Amino acid sequence: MTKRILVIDNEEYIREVTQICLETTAGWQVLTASSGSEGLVKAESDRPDAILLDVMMPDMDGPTTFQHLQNNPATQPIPVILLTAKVQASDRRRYAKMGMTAAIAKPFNPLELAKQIRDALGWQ
Amino acid sequence: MMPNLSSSEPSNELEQLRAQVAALKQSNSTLSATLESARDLIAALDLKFRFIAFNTAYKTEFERNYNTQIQPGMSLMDALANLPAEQVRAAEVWGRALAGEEFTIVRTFDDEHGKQKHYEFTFSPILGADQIQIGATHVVRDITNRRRTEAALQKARDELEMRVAERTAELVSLNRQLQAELDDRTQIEQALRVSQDRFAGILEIASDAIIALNAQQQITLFNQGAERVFGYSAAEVIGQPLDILLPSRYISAHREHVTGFGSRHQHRARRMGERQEIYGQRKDGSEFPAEASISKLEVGGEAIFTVILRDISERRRVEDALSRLSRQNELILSSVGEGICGIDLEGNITFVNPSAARLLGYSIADLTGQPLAIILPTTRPDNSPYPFADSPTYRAMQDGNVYLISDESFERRDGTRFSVEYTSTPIVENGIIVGAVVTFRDVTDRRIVEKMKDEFISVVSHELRTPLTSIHGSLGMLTSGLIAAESEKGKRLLHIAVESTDRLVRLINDILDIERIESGKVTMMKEVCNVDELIEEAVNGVQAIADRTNLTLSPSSVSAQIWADFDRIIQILTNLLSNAIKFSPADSTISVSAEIDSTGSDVLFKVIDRGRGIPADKLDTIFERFQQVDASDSRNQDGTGLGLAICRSIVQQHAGRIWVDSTLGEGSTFTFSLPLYRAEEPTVSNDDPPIVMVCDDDSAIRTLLRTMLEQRGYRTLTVASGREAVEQAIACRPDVLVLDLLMPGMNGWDVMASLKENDETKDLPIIICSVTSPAQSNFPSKGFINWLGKPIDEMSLIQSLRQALTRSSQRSRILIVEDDTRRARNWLPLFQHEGLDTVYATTAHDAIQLSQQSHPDLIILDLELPTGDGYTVVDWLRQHSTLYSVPLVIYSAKELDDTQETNLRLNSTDFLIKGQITPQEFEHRVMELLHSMTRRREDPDKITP
Repeated sequence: MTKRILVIDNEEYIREVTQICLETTAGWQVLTASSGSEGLVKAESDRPDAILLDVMMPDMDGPTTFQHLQNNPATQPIPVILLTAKVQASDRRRYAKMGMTAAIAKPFNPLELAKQIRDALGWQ
Repeated sequence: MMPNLSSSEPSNELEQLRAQVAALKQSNSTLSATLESARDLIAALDLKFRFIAFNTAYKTEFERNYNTQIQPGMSLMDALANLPAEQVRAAEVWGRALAGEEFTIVRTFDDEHGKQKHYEFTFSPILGADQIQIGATHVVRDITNRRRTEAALQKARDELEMRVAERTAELVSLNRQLQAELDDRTQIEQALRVSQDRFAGILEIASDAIIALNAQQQITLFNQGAERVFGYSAAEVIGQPLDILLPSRYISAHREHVTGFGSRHQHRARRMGERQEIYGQRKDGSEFPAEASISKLEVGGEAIFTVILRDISERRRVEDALSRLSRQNELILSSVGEGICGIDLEGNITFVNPSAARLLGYSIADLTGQPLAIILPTTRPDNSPYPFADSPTYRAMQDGNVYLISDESFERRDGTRFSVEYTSTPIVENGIIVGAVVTFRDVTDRRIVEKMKDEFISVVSHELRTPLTSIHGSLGMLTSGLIAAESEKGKRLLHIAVESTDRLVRLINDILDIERIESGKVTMMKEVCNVDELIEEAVNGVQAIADRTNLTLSPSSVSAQIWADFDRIIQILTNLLSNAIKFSPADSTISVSAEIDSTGSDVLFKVIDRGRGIPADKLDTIFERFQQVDASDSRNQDGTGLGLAICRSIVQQHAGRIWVDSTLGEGSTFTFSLPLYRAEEPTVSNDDPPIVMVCDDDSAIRTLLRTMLEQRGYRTLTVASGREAVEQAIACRPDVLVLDLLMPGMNGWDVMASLKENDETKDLPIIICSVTSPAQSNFPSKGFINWLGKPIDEMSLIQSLRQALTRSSQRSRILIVEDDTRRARNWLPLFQHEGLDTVYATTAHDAIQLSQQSHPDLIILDLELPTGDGYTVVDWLRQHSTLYSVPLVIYSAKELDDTQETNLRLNSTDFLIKGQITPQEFEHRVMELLHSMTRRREDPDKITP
């Protein structure tokens, strides 16, 4: 069954590139949201298999969005992978503590991204 | 004498015999008469103790005494037959006499009246004609009277003797006394001699010069010490006036001093030179500092002055060295920005430097003697107790190690804490730890900066990674071959890559730009700019973009000039217009205008859009870096998040202000003000007009420049080639050089390089005058004062010359903190006239930020600011060692009391009262402070507290 990934990022080009990348390399279906609040709505309505979440976003940043996802029973089980420029060891620990599945650094290798997501989520 | 009988002729013999008998009879009677007449008792006995004869006195006395009768021929023994005791005594004494002994005895008898009578008995033998003893006599003499006389005499003699004894005793006593005195005297004399010898010795060997003077101030004594000190022998100076030992300039003063001393003081010594240094002069003419005492002695009505003088050159040298050292140490302690506290073993503060006191909010006196614990927090960050025994300072004193601590806080007097970095170093004296030195610095600011830096790096990192992610992603997909470049997706990816690359380039440029502007590495190329030209050029630049979204640009301007960097002002206007275009709805109008403000001192540039507006809470922060209203705005458009920050930096470099007014949903008005340029008549001094050397290969330009300059009162020197310029610069020492760049042979750059290489000309200010513009040439950022374009604008030329002639080796920069723009504007011409750069802040917040960015040489601070008063600014400056020493002019509406002034005073601070000082006075005070600061900078070796 085709996996469905929700990409939440305020950067239009990143959403686009990520979408093309995952569709092309993994054949997944990619949904996009340009802000945290839009992401919450889509996550609840579309129930993706995983969420790629940008950290630094205006208005509602990644961690806040994640908290909202966790607080909603409908979205709580969806694994969340952070896509961030900030992936220092201390950040990783903080994210893991929060319950996030993984963090992938920007810029990412487009040919490796799908594999990284699979590895993080234990998908075959 | 017995008759000498002889037998001769009978007749004759008879006759002779008769004659002899007669003579004998005669002799006998004479003898008897003599006996009788004698007052002594005389008796003669024969060898058989029979009386031969006795005189009446004897008979009377004998018979009376012994109560018996005597007659010649009668034996004495018979006469004394009844007195056996007398008989024995008589037999004994007479026996001795009859035996031939002659002697005297004295006997004492009582007379009939019972009175003692003394008799002297003298026994003598009687010799016959043949010298044979025939008997003996004794003569008894009453010696009672003689005895009495003798007794009296004896008594008199005894008395005399007694007196003599007494007198003798007296004399002996006196003698003893005299002897004692004599002994004393001898002793004293001896002591005196020793003392004299000693004094003489001391006098001679004393290292001090000892000089005696008579009333005429002639030298009468000059010891060896004096010989050594002055280099004269005693013989050379005895009898000479004291003057020869003094430097000529002190002679009269010294004479008066000695004379004055003589008249004021009797037998008193006083140190000379207590109030002033005295100097001596050696034989070789060299002078030396001395310490001397003078004393006066009246001997026999004559005054003697004794001067004891010590050469203190060496001591002075040592003292000077010590005091220099201690001053140096004190200066070092005072001048270091770090707080330094000395602690004894009990943990009490033994010394503090001014920085420590300042940082902790105490006075030095308040801290000294206090336990260090008063500045150490009593709790750790987690609120657990933090006893002194746990502190590194205590440990340093225990184990002798040096501790460097960077994660603790100290407590100020007011209880607030600040982050410190400190070292605790044990003080070891003779191998024993006697205390510790705590050296600390306030790192609050550094922490804030570090945090800001972290945040900034984090933001920049994000900003850089965002386009990189797009580029990397797009190109990665394309190069993998999974997506063909010619496909729709491929084209889209290529577009994303290109756009993102552009964004990255813009971002990097903006980051570099803002850094260079704020750090002062980019000099504003200021010139006289026509405001209308600026508006026109800016509008032309963005017209095409506006046209794309069908926006109307509506420019309006005034005919005015500003002293500004043309390109940078265009940069601001373009940036504001671009933002306006981005956020304006299609078909709307954007107006861009320039007008003179109500005060008449500023030009206000306004860019007004009809966009969605900016929320009130973002109005202040929008000029900060990466503080877009909505980050998605810039990402979707072409912003970098730095545009407005750059605008603000440029405006501040022009002593201007920038702000925004906005109503949500209606639009925004961005305004920046820049000081109006007022042309002033140049004030070139008539006495010594500056020489301006003009170097241009074009004779028309040379003539033009010479005419312009000479009309303004400058002297000119024109040369037609670079080589000539270099030669004349050395020969004529012009004050400034106006230099063409494009010349045959040695061009302008070569001339500059050549001048900079020569010590004599390296400081010659240079103004470039060229048809090329700075952007076209790859010019070094330093080396010239200004760049004038051709055709030459006279105002710009004059302005540049002023700037060149007043500038010091480095241009000074003044930070003006004043919310009243009108007042601030009044000062600008003054400072521009002095060739000073000005940076302008209207709030405490801006002031704090600009003070860090612009490295001002002087700060002018209005105490009454709308947001956070001047005290906040001063407190902040105080805590920064680099800013603490920047001269500060504080002015306020009302007079400050002492406490307020103390709280506000930094290193060199001047207080002025608004309305009590004219602009001229103000300028004067500011320039004074600035000059003192400049002098210090030019003479860095000179440490001034």
